[in-house]
Amino acid sequence: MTFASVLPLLWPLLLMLGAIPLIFLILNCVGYGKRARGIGVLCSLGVLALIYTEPALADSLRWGLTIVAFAAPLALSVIAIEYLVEET
Amino acid sequence: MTALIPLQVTSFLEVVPPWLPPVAIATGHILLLVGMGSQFFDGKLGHWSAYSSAIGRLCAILLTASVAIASYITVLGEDLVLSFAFLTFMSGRFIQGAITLRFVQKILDFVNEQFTEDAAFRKRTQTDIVAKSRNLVGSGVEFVGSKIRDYIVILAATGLITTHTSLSIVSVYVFGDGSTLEAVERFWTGFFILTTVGLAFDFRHFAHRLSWVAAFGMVIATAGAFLYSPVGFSTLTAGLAPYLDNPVPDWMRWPLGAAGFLFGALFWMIFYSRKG
Repeated sequence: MTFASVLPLLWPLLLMLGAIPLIFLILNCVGYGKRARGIGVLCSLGVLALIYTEPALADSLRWGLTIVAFAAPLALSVIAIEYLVEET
Repeated sequence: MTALIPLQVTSFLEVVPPWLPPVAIATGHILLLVGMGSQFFDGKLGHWSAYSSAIGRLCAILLTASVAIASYITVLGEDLVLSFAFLTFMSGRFIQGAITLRFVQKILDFVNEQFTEDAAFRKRTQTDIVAKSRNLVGSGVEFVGSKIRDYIVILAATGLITTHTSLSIVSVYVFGDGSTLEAVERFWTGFFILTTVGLAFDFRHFAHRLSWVAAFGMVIATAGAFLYSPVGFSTLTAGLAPYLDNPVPDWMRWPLGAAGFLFGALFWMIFYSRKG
């Protein structure tokens, strides 16, 4: 098992790990309890399984994340210019 | 010793440490995403009682790792390395375009201010005119002085780095084994740090408003993209290799830099006119 072969398995896992605290926060804010959290975790695991089994879904998600990476510096520049104008 | 000295200019251009640009671009992007992500979560979810900025940071780090790996796979798989590097470079230039226009606008404002005051003083005596022109010269000198004071910082920083790099290159010959490759690598590392400092200087205007981490990431990524050499990194450019013997491809960098600069100026104008 090489490093490169682990990567396609790693990114969906990290995505879900990042999403779970957010799901918990949202459920907490809305006022749901422990049971809802359990369901939330189960749903995330379901989505994770779906990503692993459906290459089409995995590909489109991967492209979406790539677009985020491409757009990030552009977005930062535009936001920065907006601040610059505000401060002038 | 004489055999070691002829360090030709072309050999300087042939060796950028190959790891430096990709590592800089990647690190810069990761810092950028983490910084922007945690700021976004702080801004959007900050008022929730269960939220703490540690959770926001954790989410930002995990999601960034996911985005980083996913885009690594896509970018390598689809041969988009070159586009990725150049887009990053252009984004960095945006800001320089905007800052140039801001500078021009400040000068215009200054001149405008003086003339409107002038117009208000239609009925003035001889002494008034003398006083006014002294005042004008005085505030002009003050304006230029404040600009120079700003730039002294960057001059000192670049001077320090240049001196350090030169001494470090000399030390390769005096104390080290005199390897040309090592000297050239040190040159490029120094050049990279210089670029970083130059960009960071431009970012000082708003780094406190964005997020320090994100602004720093942007600076690192742009500096890395600035040094990025398409040769040997991408199969797309393999065919162009004979034309790309210069690792900092001017034929590509200048038009892209100019385009980035113009887009930056354009964005500045749009925001400025919207602000009214």
